[in-house]
Amino acid sequence: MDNRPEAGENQLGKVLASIREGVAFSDQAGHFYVYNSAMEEITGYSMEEANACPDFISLLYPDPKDRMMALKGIEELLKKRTSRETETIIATKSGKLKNVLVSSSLIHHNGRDLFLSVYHDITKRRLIENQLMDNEWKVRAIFDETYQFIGLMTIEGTLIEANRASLEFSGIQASSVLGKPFWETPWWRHSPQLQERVRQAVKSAAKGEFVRFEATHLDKDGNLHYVDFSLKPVKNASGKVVYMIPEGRDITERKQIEKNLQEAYTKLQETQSQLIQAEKMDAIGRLASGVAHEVKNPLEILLQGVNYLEEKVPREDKEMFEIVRMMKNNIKRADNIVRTLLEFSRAGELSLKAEDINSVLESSVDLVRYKVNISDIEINRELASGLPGILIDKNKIEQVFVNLLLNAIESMPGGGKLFLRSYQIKLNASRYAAGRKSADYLGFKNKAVVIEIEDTGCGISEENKKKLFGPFFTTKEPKDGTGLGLSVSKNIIELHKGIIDIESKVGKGSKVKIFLRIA
Amino acid sequence: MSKSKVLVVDDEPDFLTIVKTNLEGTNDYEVKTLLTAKNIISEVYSFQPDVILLDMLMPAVGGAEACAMLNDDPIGKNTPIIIVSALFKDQDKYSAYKEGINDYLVKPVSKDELIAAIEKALGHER
Repeated sequence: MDNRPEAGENQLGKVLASIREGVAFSDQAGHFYVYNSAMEEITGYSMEEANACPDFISLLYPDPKDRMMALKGIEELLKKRTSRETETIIATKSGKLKNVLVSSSLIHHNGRDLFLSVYHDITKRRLIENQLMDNEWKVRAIFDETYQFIGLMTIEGTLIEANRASLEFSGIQASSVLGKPFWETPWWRHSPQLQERVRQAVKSAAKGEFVRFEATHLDKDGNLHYVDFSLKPVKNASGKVVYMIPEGRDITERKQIEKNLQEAYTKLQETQSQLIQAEKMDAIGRLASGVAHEVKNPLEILLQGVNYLEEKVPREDKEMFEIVRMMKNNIKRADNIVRTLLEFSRAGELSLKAEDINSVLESSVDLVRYKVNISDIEINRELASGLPGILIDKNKIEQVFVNLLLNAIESMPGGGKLFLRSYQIKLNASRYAAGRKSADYLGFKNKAVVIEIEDTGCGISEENKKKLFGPFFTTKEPKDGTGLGLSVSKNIIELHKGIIDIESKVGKGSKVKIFLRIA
Repeated sequence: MSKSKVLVVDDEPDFLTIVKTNLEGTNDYEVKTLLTAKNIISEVYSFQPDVILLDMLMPAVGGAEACAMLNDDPIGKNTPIIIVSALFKDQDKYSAYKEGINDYLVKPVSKDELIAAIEKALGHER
C-alpha cells in the first residue's frame, strides 16, 4: 500500500529538500510519510526511522501532556478543516527538547485525511527571547526595587517610565504621570519655582547637559522631603540625546543630621565664647574687688592733697589753676574706672521690683538731657502704652539705658535723631535664644518687652561689632570712656536673664534692642 | 565761736595728715588723728570730739566694731559718726548704718564734701 503522495516524484523531492523548514506528511495515527532533510536536522531522526515508526508522534512528544496537546490539535484540525499554527516542544532523538512552531493543514489525498506540517525550529529564538525577558526582568527589578526615584522621559520631557519607589513615595498611580510633561507631575506641584527649574533642566538635559540640584518633594502624607535631584541625558551610538533619566534621592535624613551637627557646632562655639567671656568677667570682678580698696584709699589722699593745693594757687595763676582742675578731674576718672569695674564683682546683687519700663527709660533720658540739648538731637518716642510691669533692678537698668543713650548721643556729634521705642513681642526667632547658658534665658515663644534705642549716628564697623561687648573696648578718647559701658550693660541685662542685641550700619546708625522677659 | 573737735580714725597715715591739714586749714576745726580704733573710747573721754570720722577696713578693730564700742558708751553713743571708707557696697553701708552712724562717705571724698558732711552731722547745716 502506498499512501504516500507523489513523494517519489523528483520535483517534489527536490522542492522539499531545498526547503529549510521541516516538512512532513502524517496521518491521524501519527505515522509520518513524507519527511524532508530539514526535518531530519530538527528531530535527529532519519526519514527511514520516521517512516518506519507507526507512531512517530509518540517519539516526538514523549511527554504525555505535549502528546495530548498534539493529538488535540489534530482533532481540531479535522473538525474545523482549516490550517493551524501551534508552538510546541518536541524531543529530538538525542533527547534534547526543542521549541518548534508547527503550521499544519489538512490535505485530502487518495480518500484519506493527511496532515501537512511545517516545522520551524525556534529553539534559538526562544532562548534569546527568554534571555531578553530575563534581562528585562532583572533591569525592571532593579528599576522598581531601588530606593532611589528613577524615571525615563523623552527629550521633550514627557515621562514614559517611573519606578515604584517614586510612585509609592508620593502615593500616585503610574497612569497619572506617564505621558505628562515631567514638570507638571505631582512631584513638583507644591512649588512653581521648582516646576520652572525642572522645565529649564529638561531643556538643558535635552542639549546633552547633566543637571543636578537640590529639590523638595511632598510625600504621600504631605511632609516635605529634601531630594538630591539629577537629570541625565541618554545618548545613542551617534551621540544624539534620545532619552533622559530623572533621578532623585531622599536626603532629608542626611540634611537633618547636617543641620543638627551645624547647630550643635554653633552652640558649642557660642558656649565656648560665652565661657571665655564669663571667665574674663569673673577674673575682672575678682581683680577689681581686691584692688578697689587699695586704689580708692590713695585716690582719697590725692584728692584731699589737690584740694589742699587748690587753695594755695593764686587766683590769677590760670595755668596752675587749670593743672589743679585737671588733676581733680583725673582723680574722679580713676575712681570712675574702679567703680565701674566693681560692677562686675557685684554680679547677682539685683534688687528686683516690678517697674514700668517706659518711666525707667524716661528717667534715664532725664539724666542725659543736658547732653541731648547741647548736641542738637531730636528725640522721637514710640513707646507702647499699657506694657506689663517687669521685674528689674531699676538702678541697674537705668545705668544700662544711660550707657546706651550716651553712646547714641556721642555717635551723633553733628546732631541727629534718637528713636526710643518700647513694645511687647512673643519671640519667634530662636536667633536670640541660641546657645544661651540656661533655659532661664529668653527663648522661643517667650513673651518679652523690647526697648529699642536707635540713633542716626556714625554706626559700628563689622570689625568693631565683634569686640563691642568686650571689656575695655572703646573707640572714644581715653578721657571720654573706660570701655566698660557696654560690657557692664550686657552683664546687667544678662543678670536679668535678658538679651541685648546691636544692629548697625556704618554711616547709617545703630539700633540697640533689649529684650526683657515678662514674668 | 569755738572750734569743733574732729577725731579722725584711719590706718592710712597720709590720709590722716592731709585731712588734718585741710580741716585745720579752715580754722574751724581742731583735729586729732588715730591710726587704730583700739583706744577710741579713752580718746572720746580725753579729747571729747564733737564728731568722729571713721574708716571701715582697719586692722584689729574695724569701723563697724568701733561704732558698736561707741554705742556701748554713754558719751560715745551721743557723738556723731561719719564713715569715710573705700568700701562702697550696699552691704557695707548697711552694716554701718545699723550701728547708728550719721553719714557714710565713699572715698575719694573731696575736702568740700567732707566739710559738708561734718557740718551736717554737727547740726550746722543751712
